[in-house]
Amino acid sequence: MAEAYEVERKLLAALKLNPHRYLDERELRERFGLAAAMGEATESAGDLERAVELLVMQGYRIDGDETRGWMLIGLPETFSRFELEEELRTTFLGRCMFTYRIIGSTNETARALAAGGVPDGTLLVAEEQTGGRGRRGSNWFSPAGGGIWASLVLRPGISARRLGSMGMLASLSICLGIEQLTGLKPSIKWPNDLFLDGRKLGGVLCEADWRAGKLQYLVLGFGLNVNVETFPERLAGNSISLSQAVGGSVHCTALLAEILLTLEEGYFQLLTDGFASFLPRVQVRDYLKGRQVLVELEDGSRLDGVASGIDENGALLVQERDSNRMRSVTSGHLVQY
Amino acid sequence: MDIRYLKKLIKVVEDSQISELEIEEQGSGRVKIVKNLLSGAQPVVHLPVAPQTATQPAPAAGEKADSNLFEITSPMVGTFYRAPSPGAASFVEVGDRVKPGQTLCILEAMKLMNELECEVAGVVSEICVENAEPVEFGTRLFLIEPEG
Repeated sequence: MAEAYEVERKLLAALKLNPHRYLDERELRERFGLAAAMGEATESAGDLERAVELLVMQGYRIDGDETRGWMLIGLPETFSRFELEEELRTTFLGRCMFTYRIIGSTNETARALAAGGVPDGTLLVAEEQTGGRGRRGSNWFSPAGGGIWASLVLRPGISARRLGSMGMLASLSICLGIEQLTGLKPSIKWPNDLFLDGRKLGGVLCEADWRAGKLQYLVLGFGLNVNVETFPERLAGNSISLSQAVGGSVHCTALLAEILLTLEEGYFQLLTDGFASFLPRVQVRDYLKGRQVLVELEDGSRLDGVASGIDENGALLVQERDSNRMRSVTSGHLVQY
Repeated sequence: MDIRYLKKLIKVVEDSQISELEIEEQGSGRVKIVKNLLSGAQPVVHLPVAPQTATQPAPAAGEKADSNLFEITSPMVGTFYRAPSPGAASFVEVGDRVKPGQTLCILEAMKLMNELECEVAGVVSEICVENAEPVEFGTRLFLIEPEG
């Protein structure tokens, strides 16, 4: 069986090799092996036209000329599967990939795929989410081409306690990827939101599935405002995108490739060395440290105090205002910060 | 450490694929349970010197479950939620028929949402924890009356 998108891949490779030149059907077939991909019987250029259409849908700018053929004039500005495949430097994250123009929620679909048995490291990326989710049913604004809306399916052999720090590891990896590519310095708002200039830049949502005391799979979803130009009114004051911060669009695909590489390295390190080995890097990016916080705890009581760092298990440390006692919070909701 | 808690931990090790479990709790010391894989006999319990403190609350309900009922326990420390989001319908109610793979509840720990799947086919006989209550490792969450 021919590999998926074989025609598109070969066409793209040929066009990229000839950036300022039109390639016609004859040249594409004879010099770039496109005939072989389609079998000898194909006479019409139908397959090539379909491939060009698909590349254009992916965001490639291709100029078509009836007599001269096609020429590549621009790369996708939003997320592109082919570009990501080229840029990916991981060993297993994203090696199996599902891409969507539009999806309800990448986490939701990832869970269905995970239950169906997709491999460890499977990546789902969507250009737009109509039902992007945060924790406990809250919404996540995920407009078309505005960012990275993605989920990973992981199947780690890991204890529940270590699993608890996966979200923070993902947040750290995203920070490091952004720093590497843009020079910006986002921070981590415990446990797994990303902040930049005091506003929300992104978030991580981890969902795990357990059966008979054993982890079946983990879905690690993340939403990152990359090129969102304007936020809806309810979010405008407290949200930010990378493009707003740098004053120009940011390459989604390169950023995702960088994040996945960092996350993969971190993931192996988490499995062998535990979360404590990341602690210094998390601590210097701790958004809450030194801030007055009000945390609603699981029993409904409220903890009022000063955020005082993150411990080696990934719990938030809060120095209680009244007693001066240091409390560690593993599960709670930040009401004020 | 509470003796019932220890018994519970031993049972967890016995019933699982793991051969060794070590748990440390602030104030109540550390316990290590090692399963004798060769004989499959009772696990050996090592109890390092544990500072005695006030009685620890038992993580699970006190009375013993009816032996016919299948017990579903928490695999982690977290917060128990009966519905996918506030205001949404509960995953299951007492009396509901459930099948393997069906989601029973969510356990939240560090913003990680853990869905717990049912392992058996049967009828929910008891939901042992209130919504939004904290649970411990091993806390009994559901009793299921198996079918067939």
